[in-house]
Amino acid sequence: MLFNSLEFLFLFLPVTAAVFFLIGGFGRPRFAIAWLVVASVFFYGYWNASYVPLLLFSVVFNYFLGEALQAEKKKWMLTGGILVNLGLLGYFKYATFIVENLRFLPIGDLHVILPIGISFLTFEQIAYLVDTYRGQTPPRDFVRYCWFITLFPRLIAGPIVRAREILPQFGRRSFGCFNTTWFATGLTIFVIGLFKKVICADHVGSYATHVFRIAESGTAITFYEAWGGALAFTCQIYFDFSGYSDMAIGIARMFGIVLPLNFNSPYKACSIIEFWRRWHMSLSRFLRDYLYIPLGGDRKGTVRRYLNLMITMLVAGLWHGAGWTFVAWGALHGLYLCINHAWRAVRVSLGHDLSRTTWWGRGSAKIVTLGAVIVAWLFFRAPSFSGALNMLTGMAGMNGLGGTSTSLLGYLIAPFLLLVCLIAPNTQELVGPVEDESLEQSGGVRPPQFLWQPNLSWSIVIGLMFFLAIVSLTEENEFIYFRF
Amino acid sequence: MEVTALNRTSESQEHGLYLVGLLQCVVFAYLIMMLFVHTQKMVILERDYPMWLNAKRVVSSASTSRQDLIVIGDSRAKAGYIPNLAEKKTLNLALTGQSPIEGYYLLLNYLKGHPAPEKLLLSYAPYHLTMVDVFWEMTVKYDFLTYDDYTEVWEASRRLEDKTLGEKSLRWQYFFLPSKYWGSVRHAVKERRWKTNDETYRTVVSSNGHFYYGKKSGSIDLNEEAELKKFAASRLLDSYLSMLIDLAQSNGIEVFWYTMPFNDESCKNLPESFIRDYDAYLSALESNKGVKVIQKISCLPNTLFGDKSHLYLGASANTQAILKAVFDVSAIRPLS
Repeated sequence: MLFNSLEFLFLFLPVTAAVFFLIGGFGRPRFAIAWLVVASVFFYGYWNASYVPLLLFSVVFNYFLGEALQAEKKKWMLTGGILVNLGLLGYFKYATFIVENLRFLPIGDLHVILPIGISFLTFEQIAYLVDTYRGQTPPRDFVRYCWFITLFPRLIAGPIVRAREILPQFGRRSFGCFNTTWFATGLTIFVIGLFKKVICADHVGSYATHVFRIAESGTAITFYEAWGGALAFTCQIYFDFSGYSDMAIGIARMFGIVLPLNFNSPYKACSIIEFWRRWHMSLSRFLRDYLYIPLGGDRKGTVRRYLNLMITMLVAGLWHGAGWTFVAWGALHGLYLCINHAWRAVRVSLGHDLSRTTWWGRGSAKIVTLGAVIVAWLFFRAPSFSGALNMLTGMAGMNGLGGTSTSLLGYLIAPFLLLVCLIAPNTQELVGPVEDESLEQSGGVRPPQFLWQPNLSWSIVIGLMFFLAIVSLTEENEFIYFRF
Repeated sequence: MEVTALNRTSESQEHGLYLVGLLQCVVFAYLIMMLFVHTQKMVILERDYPMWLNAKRVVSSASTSRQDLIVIGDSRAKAGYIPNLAEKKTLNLALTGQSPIEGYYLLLNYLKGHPAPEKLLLSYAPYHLTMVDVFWEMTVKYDFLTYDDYTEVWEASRRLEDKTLGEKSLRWQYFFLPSKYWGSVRHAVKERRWKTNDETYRTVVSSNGHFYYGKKSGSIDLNEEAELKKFAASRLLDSYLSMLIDLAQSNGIEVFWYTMPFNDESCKNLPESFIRDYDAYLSALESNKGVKVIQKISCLPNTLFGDKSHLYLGASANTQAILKAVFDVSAIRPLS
């Protein structure tokens, strides 16, 4: 079920919330979370019920392995658990890809359907096992564990959460009770996310699809077309995924649950290092804590540090999709990060103070960073290397400047949206922080400005945004990250 | 402690009022839009709406004057037959995307307020016997059928186990969902439809139902049939075609069938099996129902078409051929 579908907006969400608060209102938070588990499994199974057993197996297996690890910290158990999780991911996500790349061997065709959300689920389960092994998991029981893993707002595409961020929230005195403030802010965040997805991402996405399809067919792409398509996808993926994350965070907040932030205006970053602190923050955090640091991080010398960065980003690329273009995207970002760290090292060795910057320095750094990110997106979006290279050729102006395959409006929407990304406050800056200081927010992000207020003007603005998003739901476009 | 509690209550009230305001705003905007789209269809809908509206008004009006010929069919018939060229009293009730379903209800309603015409020419493109492409997008959205008519169609599709209309009914969506009209609203502003629709309406009224879809001086684009692999009539459409013919014949109307010509380019891409199966279908109509088939699939030069499937420069000659055939059947020779 998609967040941007009528059955979700007008049936699933209201019914789930009503029953949850009804049960919670009677002082039965444990039953309330049990209801959320049932609703979440239904939410997952609505897409394809045949994968529900896989979800349940994963939950049961990891819960009991976690219990065993809690009782006895044995490394082989942890390794075995990680391998089982990776094995499931490997089979469902990469088996077809591997078979396709081993065509020289006498093996037949293999077509495995990717269970939705398995990449996110696998990382969360691995993080849970590692945290349990490290003794960093709070007390839980089976129902609470099921609730933590299957929680429907983030079951399909994150944010990737850790047990210690979610489980303690159950202990809050007011948990399960309807809270007007939380519901209002949650609904506001959700509407902003829905607007981003339906109005911004889907509109600009149709233009990106058009241009990338032409590029894939081998037709020469002109300078304006190529840049239009590249900028369109740059905006589409941001509004699509950050819109999804806002919706997930907003829905959870309506239920009185706080999820970690996933985006913090990534296109405002002045460097690739900063970009990865702002883009898909829960994934960056996972890769840092469970891959980069265990590999040695920056503790084993400069060469190992760069090697670890490359490995981490290659894994990030492969995690996104079973294809060589995703590997190339990861490799490019790994390279960017190495160059960024090397540049900083050179500047430090020359005696520069990295904390002192100028406006033109920051401006040019933003342009370079954004340019590098846009080039990498070409490999992320294009189905093949030839398509990506065709786009690059066009962007370099080697096929001429002019030529239009769309209206002037098509060209203007993407730059306009990019400008919005660059200057407008993001959702958390607009709506405000979580008021529970005991809850950890990833990256230590604390919004600097709180523009939204629960008043008449904002109720009209958000109400109209909600209405516009609903009337624009002419077809259900799935979220890009659902494929991962 | 008390101050904090008071602050929380006040904050909660503020957020409560905000939620109520937000909900009111959404409901108000919804009601305004639905009221607008259901009462101002001429202002927002595409150019086909005035043609459907005109046909609906014609059939629901009352008159004692008898037509010599009525044409019922799809857009190819609407463009390919010009009533004003005929010396006889003729009327073109063909419509964009019309299938035998709408054709049946057109004739049924027409006969309620008018004397039965002498002759009826049916002209549906072969692919409009295999699929319904605008039943939801036009027939339902344009309120062409009454609720009872619609229920009858839907039940027939279930009874015949025909999936032409899809798995589930979308009627309620066109009644309640603003998203079904949002695209029209946006385009209405861009295309100033309130003006163009008025012009289209006046054109079809003055031409007795004729309308040119494309006005190019030739087209080499392929029509819908050229994209089809085989001809297989839908059970639902076949059933309604049969009902339409029976209705006409039971009122003493002579029924003719005329397949509007294809452009040469489409003919070249038409599979042999498609032509054979379609011919067999028409032959069955002729022998089982007594319909006079005056033209099967035929081809004309690309230059006579205003777009991939509608006649433009060739419309006058085509009208003359129809008139000659209908009013003097023995003198007919196939155009191909």
